Amino acid sequence: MSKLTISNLKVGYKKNQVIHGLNLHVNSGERVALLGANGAGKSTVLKTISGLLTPTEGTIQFNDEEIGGVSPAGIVNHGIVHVPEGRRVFPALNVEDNLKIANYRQGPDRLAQGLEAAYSTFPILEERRKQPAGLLSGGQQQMLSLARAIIARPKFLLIDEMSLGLAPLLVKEFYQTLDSLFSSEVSLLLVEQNAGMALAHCSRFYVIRNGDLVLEGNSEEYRDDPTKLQPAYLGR
Amino acid sequence: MTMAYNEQTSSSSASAMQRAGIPVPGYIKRNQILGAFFFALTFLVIPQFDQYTTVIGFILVFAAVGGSLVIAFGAAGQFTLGHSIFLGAGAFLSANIANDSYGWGRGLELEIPIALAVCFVLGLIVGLPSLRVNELYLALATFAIAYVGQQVLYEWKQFTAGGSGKPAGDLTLFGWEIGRGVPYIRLSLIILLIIFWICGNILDGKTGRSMNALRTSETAARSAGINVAWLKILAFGISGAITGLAGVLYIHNLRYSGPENFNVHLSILLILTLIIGGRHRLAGAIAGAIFVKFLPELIRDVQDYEGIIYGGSLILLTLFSPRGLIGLIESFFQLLGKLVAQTPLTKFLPKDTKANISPADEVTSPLQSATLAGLVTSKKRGHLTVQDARVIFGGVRAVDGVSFEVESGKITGVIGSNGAGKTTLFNAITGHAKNAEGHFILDGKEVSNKPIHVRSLAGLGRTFQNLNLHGDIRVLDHALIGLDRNMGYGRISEAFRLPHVVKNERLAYEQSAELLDHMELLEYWDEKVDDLPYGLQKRVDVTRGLATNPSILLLDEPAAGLPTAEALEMMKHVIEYAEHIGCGVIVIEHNVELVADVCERVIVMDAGKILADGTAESVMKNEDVIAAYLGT
Amino acid sequence: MTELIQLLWSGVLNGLCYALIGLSLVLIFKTARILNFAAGTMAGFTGWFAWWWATKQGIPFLLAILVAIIMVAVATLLIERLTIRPLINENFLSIVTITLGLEFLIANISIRMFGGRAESFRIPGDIQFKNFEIGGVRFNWWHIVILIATFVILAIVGYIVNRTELGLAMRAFAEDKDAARLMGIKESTVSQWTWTLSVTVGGLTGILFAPVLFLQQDYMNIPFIKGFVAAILGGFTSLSGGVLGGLLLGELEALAVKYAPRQAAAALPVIIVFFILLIRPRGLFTRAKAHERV
Repeated sequence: MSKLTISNLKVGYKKNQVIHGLNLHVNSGERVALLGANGAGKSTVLKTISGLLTPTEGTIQFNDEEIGGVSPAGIVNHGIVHVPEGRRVFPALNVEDNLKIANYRQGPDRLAQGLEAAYSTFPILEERRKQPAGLLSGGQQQMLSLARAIIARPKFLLIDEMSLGLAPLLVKEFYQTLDSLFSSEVSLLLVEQNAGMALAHCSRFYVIRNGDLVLEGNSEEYRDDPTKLQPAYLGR
Repeated sequence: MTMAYNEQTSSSSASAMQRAGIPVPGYIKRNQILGAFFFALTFLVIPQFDQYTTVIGFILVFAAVGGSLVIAFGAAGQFTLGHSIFLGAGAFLSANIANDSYGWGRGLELEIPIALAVCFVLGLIVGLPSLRVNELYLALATFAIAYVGQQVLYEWKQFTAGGSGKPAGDLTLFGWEIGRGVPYIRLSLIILLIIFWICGNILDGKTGRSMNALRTSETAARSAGINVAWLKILAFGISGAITGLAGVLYIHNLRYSGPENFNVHLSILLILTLIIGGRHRLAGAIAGAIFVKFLPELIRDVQDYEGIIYGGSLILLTLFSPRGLIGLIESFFQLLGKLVAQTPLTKFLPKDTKANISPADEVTSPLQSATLAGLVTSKKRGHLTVQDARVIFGGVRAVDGVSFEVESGKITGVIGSNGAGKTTLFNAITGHAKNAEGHFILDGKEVSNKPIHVRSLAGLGRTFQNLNLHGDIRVLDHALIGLDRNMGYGRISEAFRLPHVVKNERLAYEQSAELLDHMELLEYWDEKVDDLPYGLQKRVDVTRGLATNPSILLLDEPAAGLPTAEALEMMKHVIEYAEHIGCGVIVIEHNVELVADVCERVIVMDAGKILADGTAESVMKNEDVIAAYLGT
Repeated sequence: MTELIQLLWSGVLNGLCYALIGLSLVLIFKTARILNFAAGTMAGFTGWFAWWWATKQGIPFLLAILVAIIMVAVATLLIERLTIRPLINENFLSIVTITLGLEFLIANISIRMFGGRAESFRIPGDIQFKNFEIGGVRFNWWHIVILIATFVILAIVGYIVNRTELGLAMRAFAEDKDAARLMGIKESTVSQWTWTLSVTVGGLTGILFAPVLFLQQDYMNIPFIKGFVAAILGGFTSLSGGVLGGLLLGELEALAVKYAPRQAAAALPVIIVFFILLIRPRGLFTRAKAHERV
């Protein structure tokens, strides 16, 4: 079970409300896209779920258990893994250490299995396992980021802007890998600026603008012509 | 770019300043009168405390140094652990000058000026590391300086007689012998009073504001035209000079001094004085000095436990009151005030001026006030030419050969998806992107490759995507900081608060109030910016951009996170004001509705290049633009 | 020739002291981004404490050392929990002030507990007074002990930092706090073990060098300053850099004492610091950015 329900979520920095009462849900095994223009608040939503930020109001429930305000370590314990925007690998640590970190406190057996899975999916990471992660290319860092997610064995995956700064072909590959990597029991909440890609791989979507939910729907209706979303994104 | 200032003040009986209840800058403040009263009291009462004169002497010395640190540390934010070096320099300069046996035999009339001059220069030198390193590393560098300072003092035998130390000379002023004990204390009190007066004047004037600006946001300070590098060094110079003067007093109190007195430990005590007492107010220097120097006296019976009490108090204070003793005292009075407010006694207390903004007698736009008129020129300005701008970092071509020209006084929008290079383009124009290439010409003047503050002074104003406001500073000061560039007084006049300083300050205050009024921020003039909700913060950001009286104002996502209605309202005010002073505006925005409403011309950027350039309508229909935005 | 080697060896000895202190300072700086101003005092206290157990409480030498170290480590856990952790999200000034307060506090406790006079740390067999010669160069047995002990300490710290999961967590945390938290690493865990490790290393240094520097008030304060110069030489974020920096400083000092005018030798550490910070401040708290994110 990996169901996420968010009700009336409000998030603010100091006295400023960035998210103004958001409702969304992701059913077990579902793939949902969170779309919107830059600065709309998409990353803020993910950071609040993963515990980097605390909600000022509202609830976040994972499998009917309240997780709003829980620390990031606690969220990870629930099986919710956040792959942050911009990769955020540890540049001075080598590739293998980066992978090991994802196995924090899970024991050597899980590590061995995880490394095997990671290396078979992304052979280039095995090649470069002793190299500092900062030397990898953008695409390779994204691989590393996803590999970490594999090792963490999530029940629920939050991915923030996977396509940013990457060549379209590479992005396509990543999305395909996502499909094969994670079983249908792993739910996915995906933040993307690239509406087309996101819609192709997610069954449902939400559009956020200026901290408000402005549209939700089924990807089917928009797959052929994502430009129909333009009004929701841009507000006119 | 100095503007001639119109000397008329507002003729309307309800000027913005009056309506908001903003105190008019004068020669003396209420706090100063209070302080002078206490000084006078101490002056009179001191003979009763004859036996304490040594301790009181030390308290006064520490208070003086503390006062100077309110400027260097409290205002300019330079955390320094090296001030013992100035105290030592001043002390030994005094010993060498005052002592007959060393060939000089002169008194304070020479000791003081020389200590001031030498320590000022020394301060400028010691301040150099602050240009390269910040915060903790600066603490380390100054810590090291204190250490070597002591070593140098040991080795420089002629100056300090090494380990054996030197006696203080006679305490004389123009040949007049000043006795130890009470006369010395009275002299110290007078000197301290003068020091505090000067420090207070500096803090209240443009120098104090600029220093507070650079402490809270160097980036924004530079954009306001502040020469951050020079000001940092100046802070050390001023503070060093005053501490050197305190050193003169110090050795006359000690009567003898060796290099061992001026060690790292002393440096730590000096800055602790302010950390404990509260670093933003001169009163904090006194409170801290009393704590640091008097506490040992009070606990003389338990002198053996001095370190434990000291250290323990310091830890407790830090854990529970970050603003120091003064903060505690202030909180106490605030609490008292709240309690009193709940009783019938409130009838007798003066009203809170903030809440009573009386409406203007006539409905006039602030823009018609004569004070603001002083900022207006007759012609439009802001003709900006960007030629082949390029910014490459980390292998990414963030801005890849952008050229365009903007006519004077026009309103232009810049849109594009995330990563298109819009902010980077702004950074290239304003100088925030250090490795930018290309030519930038504003109103005929080339500003390429000039430092940020120089470009700002040339007329380039800007706001920031990340706000970069001056956190614990009032809204009013954000406007004043912008206007500071036009202040017609020098720093020395400021130190003595000469009449033309007051006149300039008054005018600037009036103009700031008018500007705040126009931007509908007047009722918040006294609020610290950090305490405001996001929408108001955005407005302050934009207002301080306007306050710099730019030729062209670059707004970076001024409406981000604001509901469209509020954003439109704010932009309306901005455009109105901009038109009034004749400046142009370029605005980066994601809110396309806003851009279309407000801008005559829209430039679309994508992947570092210009994708489209035309009217809002034409650009929105452009297929390439739509594709870029939706990422298809 | 023998004179030179003697000189270099004395440089090594001092260098080891600076290296260890430098290591302890960098450990805290890497993860918490602050300088522990109480490090010298804490190291000194530990040395005194071991002496106290051995001499005043009559406990066997090695046991006394063990007891002292363990008690100091536990005390550090408490101190971290009570005074550092609450301020973990404040700016550095608050925590630096706490360490300054601790400096006063611990220095005073030290005097109260151990008396203000100098003492000598007696080692079984009095080996700190036993010398031997190799090829005309004189060595002291206790110095050899220091050499070996230092290697052991460095090896252990190296192992912890590079080969354990805790060390991995510390390194990750030092690079990117938020990303580390997303991996499930707790800030409190990193903070408490970093401080404990750092103070323990400092404490061992205090004990090792007590017979060399002689137990007096504040005897570890000057080594502390030299240690932080060592850390700066290493860029302040590199552990091995701090160690190498310490050795380098020790050697430079030994050479300067012999060949340079006295004033220069005394000022040497700080000249280095000034130089480095002005010319090549690698590992800066704030980097000079080519592109400023505004």
